[in-house]
Amino acid sequence: MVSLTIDGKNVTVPAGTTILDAAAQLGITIPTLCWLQKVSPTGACRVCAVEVEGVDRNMTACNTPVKEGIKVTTQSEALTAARKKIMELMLVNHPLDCPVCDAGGECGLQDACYELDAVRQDYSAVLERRPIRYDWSLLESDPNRCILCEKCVKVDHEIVGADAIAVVNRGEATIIDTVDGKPLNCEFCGNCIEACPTGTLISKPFKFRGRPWTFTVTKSVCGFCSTGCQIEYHSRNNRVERVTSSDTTYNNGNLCINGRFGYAYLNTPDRLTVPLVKEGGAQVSADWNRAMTGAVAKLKEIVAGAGPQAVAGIGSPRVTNEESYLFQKLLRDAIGTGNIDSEARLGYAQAQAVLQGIFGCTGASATIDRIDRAQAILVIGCDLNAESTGVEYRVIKAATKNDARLVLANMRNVKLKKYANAHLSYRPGAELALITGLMKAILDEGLENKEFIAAATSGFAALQGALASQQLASLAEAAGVSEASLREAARYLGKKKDVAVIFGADVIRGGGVETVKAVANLALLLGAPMAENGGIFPIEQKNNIQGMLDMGVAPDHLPGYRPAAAPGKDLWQIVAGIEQGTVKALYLLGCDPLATFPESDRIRKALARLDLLIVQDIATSELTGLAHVVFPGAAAAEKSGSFTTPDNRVQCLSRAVTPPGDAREDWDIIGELISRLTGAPHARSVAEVTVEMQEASGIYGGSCTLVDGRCSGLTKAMPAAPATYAFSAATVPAAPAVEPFTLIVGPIGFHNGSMSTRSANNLTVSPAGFVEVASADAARLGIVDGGSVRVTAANVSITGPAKVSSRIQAGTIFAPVHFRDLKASSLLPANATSVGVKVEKA
Amino acid sequence: MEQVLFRHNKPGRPVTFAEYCAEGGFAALHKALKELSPDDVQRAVIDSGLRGRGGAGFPTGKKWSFVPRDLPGPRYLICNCDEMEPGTYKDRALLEANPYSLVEGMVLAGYAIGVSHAFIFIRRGYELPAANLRHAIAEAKEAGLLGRNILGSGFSMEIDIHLSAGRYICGEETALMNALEGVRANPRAKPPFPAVKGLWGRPTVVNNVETLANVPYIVANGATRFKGLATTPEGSGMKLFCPSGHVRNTVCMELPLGMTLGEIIDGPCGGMLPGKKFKACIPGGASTPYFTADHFNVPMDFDAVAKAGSRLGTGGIVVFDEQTCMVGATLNLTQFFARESCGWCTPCREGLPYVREILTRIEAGGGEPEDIEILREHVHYLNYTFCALAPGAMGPVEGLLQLFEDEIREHITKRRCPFR
Repeated sequence: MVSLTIDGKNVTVPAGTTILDAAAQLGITIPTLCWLQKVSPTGACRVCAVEVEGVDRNMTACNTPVKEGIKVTTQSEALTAARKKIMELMLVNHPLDCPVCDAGGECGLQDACYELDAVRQDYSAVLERRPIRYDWSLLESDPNRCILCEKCVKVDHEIVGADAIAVVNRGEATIIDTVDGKPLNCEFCGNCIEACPTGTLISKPFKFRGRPWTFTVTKSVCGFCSTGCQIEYHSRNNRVERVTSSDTTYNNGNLCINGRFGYAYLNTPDRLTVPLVKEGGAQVSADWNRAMTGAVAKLKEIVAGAGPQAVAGIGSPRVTNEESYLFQKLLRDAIGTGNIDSEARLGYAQAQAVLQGIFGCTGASATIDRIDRAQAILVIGCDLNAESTGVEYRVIKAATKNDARLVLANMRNVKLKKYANAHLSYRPGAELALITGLMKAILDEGLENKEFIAAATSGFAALQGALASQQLASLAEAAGVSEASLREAARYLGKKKDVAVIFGADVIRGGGVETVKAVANLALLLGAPMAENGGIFPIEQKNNIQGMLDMGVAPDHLPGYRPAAAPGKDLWQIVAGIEQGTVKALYLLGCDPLATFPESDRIRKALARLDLLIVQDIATSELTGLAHVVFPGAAAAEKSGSFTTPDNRVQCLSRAVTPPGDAREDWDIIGELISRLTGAPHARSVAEVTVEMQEASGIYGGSCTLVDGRCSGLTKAMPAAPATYAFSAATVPAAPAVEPFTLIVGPIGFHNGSMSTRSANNLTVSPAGFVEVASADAARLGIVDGGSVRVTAANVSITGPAKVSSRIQAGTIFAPVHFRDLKASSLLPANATSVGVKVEKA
Repeated sequence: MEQVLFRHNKPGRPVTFAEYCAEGGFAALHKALKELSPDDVQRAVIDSGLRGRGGAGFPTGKKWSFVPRDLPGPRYLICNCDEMEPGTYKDRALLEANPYSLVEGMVLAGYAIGVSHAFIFIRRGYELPAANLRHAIAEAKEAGLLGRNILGSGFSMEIDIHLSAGRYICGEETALMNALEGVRANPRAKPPFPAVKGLWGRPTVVNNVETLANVPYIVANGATRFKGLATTPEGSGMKLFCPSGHVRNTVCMELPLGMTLGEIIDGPCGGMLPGKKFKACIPGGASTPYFTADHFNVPMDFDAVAKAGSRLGTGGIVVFDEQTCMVGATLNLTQFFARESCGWCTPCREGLPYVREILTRIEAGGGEPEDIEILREHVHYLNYTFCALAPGAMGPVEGLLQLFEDEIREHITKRRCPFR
């Protein structure tokens, strides 16, 4: 600890603390401009000048560490003058085009000038004009307005890791630009816009949409991935015009392209604004009464004729907890069927059941902020950048700021590779072999967490015995990696106090239950559940998958995981039921199985057989065209309620704008249907539903309170950790079948689900689907970048433009899941993320 | 007069390895590795009073002693040969004549600090010095004087040469380390100082070419003898001076520290060019305040020059005759510094171009009396910057204001440059 005096007050702080932070502890604010708490100090602007007794020149408080016994002065006439001079110098070349500058009114430079009383300009000079970068997508850069605080560069490099922009040139010609001078080519997260104190880096879609202070700001939670970032909708005239996030949020103000720019889907011309009903084969607009009356009558007719089991519903990870709760209530209580499921059946539901059995918890064993300070991290079968960007930021933070060891196990060279100490590029379908190999290597090297295993687990001996009969060499071969690389990875992960095990779609959807059990075993070997910083984290691309399961949108359990008395049909049983004619009515809530589900061709055929297809969604699609009744619902910005992340944070969303046209909030639609079916009164507000949902689930509680303008206070009870964690029996991994080509279908960072493909903003940087082919394969098959490729699995083919790349192994093909035109997932079998295919030039 | 660094010089060509050795070269290395401990070498350098010859004049042995003793892991030595200070060409002259004393000095320094990997960061365009050094390094390795297990002592060290991409700021030691690491050559915040956390986060010593080249003499002949080379009691050793401008001899010369400015100009420099009268000079490279004839009796040594209001700097003496416009000369220097600012911190990035603009205005006859006060203000505020570039750039401006304010006023009142 170091003691010092600031403005005559004594303070004792840990060594290495900056003068700025030490002063903050005393409640002394030193003015800053280039300082940004979440990145390393820059020390460029010199506004934070302080005097240190005995030092002949001013020191910068933001990056000068404290020293024992120093006497610091933060306010004096000389300092005020020095700070003012800095501001005046900054303005010598600043255009002062504030009247038309996007940052006007929320500009750090304006604020600093005001605060430091730089109200007069003694200096004048001929302005040097530098070209404005109009040729970037989504962002515009006006270097003339730049004060070179470097916040954008630091956020880009230290938090996002895109390394897209840099300080270039020297002297007064210094600007922030792309390294190669070409148009910006990055993740387009726009976190640099947020960091920019001036109007240098601005959002193109937001430019000239209005003065910042004229918008209504609604604090809410992002509706894309399951990171659950806290956001602010800025709306005017019932239109969301931008999304921002503040550095004081859980996510530190960091968003991804979907969070920051994806809001444009709200304003897509495809939005459903009126209910539709089918009349004589044609769909016509209807008022709510007519659409509801028709739907209820038809439902009653089917139930009367074929029983309630002839009705089924598929829910959505996009809707709120309250809506999921009402949806299962509609099906179970109002209609009387247990046939309810969702896309969680593609893997997450089963994975979560496994985790629940072992760790006692639903979803992750800890909140994701624990990842920040983990000592070792394994990311397996997951492209975090695409599946949960906010979690990726945390992994990057752990790896770069806290020197965590990072092992990446992925079939592709995903972004995290550049931070990884080891990258295990395994063969498609070899997740189980790889994890078993890792466990074998850990045990071989004696790197398991012996203390934890002895104190808190059971079944270790059996696992050890099962692994003893396995050869590391053959496991490595089956996984397609080297034995040495498995041992190396084991050494990075083993014998660490705080380990985080993160796994995504390739394990959850592709690997199946046995693979999830193996991941759990691996996490137990490493002592991950005991870790103060770390844990086990399943990753899901869509935001409210956890809340949806908590609410009982599943055939086997009711809200709060109470078992269903008579389990209904699951997703694939529902599809089979339709095919067999036993399921006659299907209610699809915010769910488009034709867009991104495996076996979508099969589902399309099945849907045509239904007597009643009710689709409740926000935009027109091939699916709504098939529906007998279409209810126009509301998007996340247009409703209230709550979302629950896989790490069990319950967050409220607040309504920023009203749904377009006659569209209504989904809880309201379902609530009215229940009322019409049962005669019970319809809930008047979402708050009523929240209370009902809390009581019914037994695990949700708390009440909404505004904290700093953000609705919070809802909670979810976590069951106590089990006394002992049971290792699962080891499954002997079979070597995956050798295919000439394997297609991997997954998300990419520019999109989330299919929702973002309706966002004009996202489409400017990622307009359409593609088929990524390894350069060696492309050369062999005569495929050129941009040329057409046909990929065929079983009897289904897709065709798309080729993207020749070095990011994937030879023999593998990658196609993004998001695009309705490409329909990449139509090639996949029911529970898989990869499939053997034939590839040819088209 | 005894020569230390130029002792081996051959007319018109570099000294050969054989000649250097025959004339006592590498004797210091033999002596150190066989008879002296690293601490002995460090102590000798401390006792010698050797001060950094790159411009700042920091005591070399003291700099070495900041390197933590028992820290595991690598530590580095960097020879700063990014000689870009206008008016300075001593390192080039030295390396064109003799690259061996630097190589020997680096091995000695490496031995004293415990370095196994050293770098020479050399200015872009210094092709001949770089070629000489490459040659010398190869010969030294061949002779077992560099590389693995030097002279059977168990001490190993490699030297790599890095040719700079070319920017003045790379000569600033922390910017230099960034450049070596392959990132933008911006200076780093100090603390931590390089001796604690330098290249790739490891303890690092950065020394100038001339500084390191003096080490063999100190080790071979002892600290006392080296100290005695200077003519002033507080001075120590010889110094390379590089005169330029309106004097007769503009070649690099090795002179004892402590000779007065007048002695140097009238003696080794051969006086002013015919028909020229001395008006002022830059005493130690572009970033030092001017001296006039009033300073002829100032001993050219670190402390004495500082006491007289300037800095010994690099020893680059630029002499101006009576016909030189000091506003124009200062503008010329300011243009250089404004261009070479890395652009990081506000005062330097915004302030230097502004000073340049004011001087341009004055020189062109458009100056206003208030400009003098604004210039003075900048001399004060540009002191508060990230690194020493802007304060250095303000050296000549400070000198101009102090010694030639009348000349500035003349520009302003006549609304033209009186020298044109």
